[in-house]
Amino acid sequence: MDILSTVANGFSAAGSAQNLIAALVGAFLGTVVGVLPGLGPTAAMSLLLPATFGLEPITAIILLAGIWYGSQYGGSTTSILLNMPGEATSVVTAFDGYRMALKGRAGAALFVSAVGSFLAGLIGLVGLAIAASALSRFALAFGPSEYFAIAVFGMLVLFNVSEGSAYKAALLAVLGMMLGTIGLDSVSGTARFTFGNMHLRDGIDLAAVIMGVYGIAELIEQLSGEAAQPAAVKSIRFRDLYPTRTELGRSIGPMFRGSVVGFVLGLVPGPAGVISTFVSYRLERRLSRRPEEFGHGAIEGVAGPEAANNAVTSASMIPLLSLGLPFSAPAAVLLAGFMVHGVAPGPGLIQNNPDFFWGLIASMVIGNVALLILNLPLVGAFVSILRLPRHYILSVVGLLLLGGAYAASSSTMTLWIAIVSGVAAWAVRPFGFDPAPLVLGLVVGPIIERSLRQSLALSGGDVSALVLQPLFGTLMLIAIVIVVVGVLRGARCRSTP
Amino acid sequence: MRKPSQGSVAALLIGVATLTYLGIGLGYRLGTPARPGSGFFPLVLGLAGLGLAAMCLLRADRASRLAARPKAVVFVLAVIVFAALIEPAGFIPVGIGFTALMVRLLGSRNPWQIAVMAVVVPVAMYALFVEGFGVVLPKGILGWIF
Repeated sequence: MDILSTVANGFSAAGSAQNLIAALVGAFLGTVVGVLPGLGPTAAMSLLLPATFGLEPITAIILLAGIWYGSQYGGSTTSILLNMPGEATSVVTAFDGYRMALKGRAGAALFVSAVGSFLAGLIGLVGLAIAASALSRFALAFGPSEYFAIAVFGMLVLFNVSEGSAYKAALLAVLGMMLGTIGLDSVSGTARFTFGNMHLRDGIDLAAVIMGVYGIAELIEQLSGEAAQPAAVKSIRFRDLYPTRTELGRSIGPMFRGSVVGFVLGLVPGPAGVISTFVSYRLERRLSRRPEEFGHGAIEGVAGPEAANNAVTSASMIPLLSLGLPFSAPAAVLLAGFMVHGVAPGPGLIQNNPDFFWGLIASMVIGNVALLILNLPLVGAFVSILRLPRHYILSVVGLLLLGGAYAASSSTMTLWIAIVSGVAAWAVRPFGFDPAPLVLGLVVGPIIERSLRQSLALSGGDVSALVLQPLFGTLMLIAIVIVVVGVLRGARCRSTP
Repeated sequence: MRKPSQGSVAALLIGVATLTYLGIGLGYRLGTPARPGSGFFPLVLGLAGLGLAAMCLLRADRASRLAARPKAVVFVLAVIVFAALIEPAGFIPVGIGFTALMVRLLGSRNPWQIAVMAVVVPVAMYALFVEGFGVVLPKGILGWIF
């Protein structure tokens, strides 16, 4: 089957009524989640995971992916209009977007942000389609040692780019991997750390942990702090959404550059979304003929970062779809979605189930188009969500979290897991512990253990055979360089007064 | 003697949890290099975790503090009660109690608003989960109605 007919089949799958609705609902919910500070895409995707149980696998994944990329659109709206980023990836957008709003150019900033996000979404999807297909063909030849090398490499890079210190990220990743060892050992079938509890034999539920560390912890945080009331938002007329010719001209280059920056950085494990926006912002300021305008309402400071954070979403799916390895928290939830529906992402998915892969890509194209068309006219409606009293939103979110955690396994075990992980994540948060490495450790840990044990069994216990493999050696060399550079940079920062 | 910082206590607790994990993990078969057993990976993780927890303890940030306001403590107690009662009492009754408490904790003083939210939200959510998503939630004491 040639590539065109495969892509056409993908669009045909995505165009079915239920998949179309799933893409639109997911994108809409994602935008709402992006607008609301606190509830991020990771928690929202976990919350809706039980809701997808009754859906077809592809419909469920389309819905979850829609929340992920939709949230990137929503986050910018409140950054520009209220200087209140809904997501960490929209913090940079507020630097110049809010300044533009103060100067009466909010409409132009929103337009450039939406078009930049759309363009980056499309560029990212083309990149995802090409890279994931190519990598999956290559990955078909991978054995356990290659998977072990890639997973360890990903985790080592993650430690170095995580928020806070590398050793804290490493500790949380190790704790996540420890949680990943609870349940039946996949190699020998031995029950580990279950203490005779039948519910624990299936392991720690990923969705419950995510609902805890991203949902319950956030609610406790909200109750621990003073509520910030959003400022009043002026309504924006449709005709105000058009940027001037000069503004448009100044935005095109940053949109393309931001897309490339976001896509490349999206391949790096960890909080690539946040990093890419800062990198894009710095790049645009360096390239600009008017760097002094940055921070005072430069449209390039909106166009570049907004494109970057959207391209990251597509790029982050490459390791997940082609190798079955998630290197970001939302990708980990998407993997949980795949697992719940009995679909294994990885090289086999793209090669043996191309309709699924291309259907997902096509749905994301459709979702991005819908977001572009709907977002601008609905800006006022999305922002009005923020005007709802806090007790309405948070009490609904709270009960939704607890109900969702119970529904994940129809037992109180997942509810207790969510509560314990949420309280623990909130308690260690002030000391610089970011929960993302814990979640990734929980997902990647079992893959690392299984591939390591299989590799050792295949080499007869000869560790040198593992180390001397070309891919393993190369990746470890790169990882060591990254770790050493990170350590030296950290030491230099500490020695600088 | 200087009082240990909250950061040190957090690192210490993580260290104790890791040590406990390592202790239990040593009870599983280690195997051989050619056939690692189910205790092999927990041993590696336990040792790595202990080393990292020690680093966190040595470099603990003394300035950071955990700010637990009474509202947050009440919320944590409420979710614990919710989890303990959801199966015997059912989702809707515990949901009513939880929502009423949440709305009050978050600042509403209007009893009508609290009552309406407390009834509407759990009932709507039950309908959404059970009828919309086909997910099982406990009926509890209201089992005779549904």
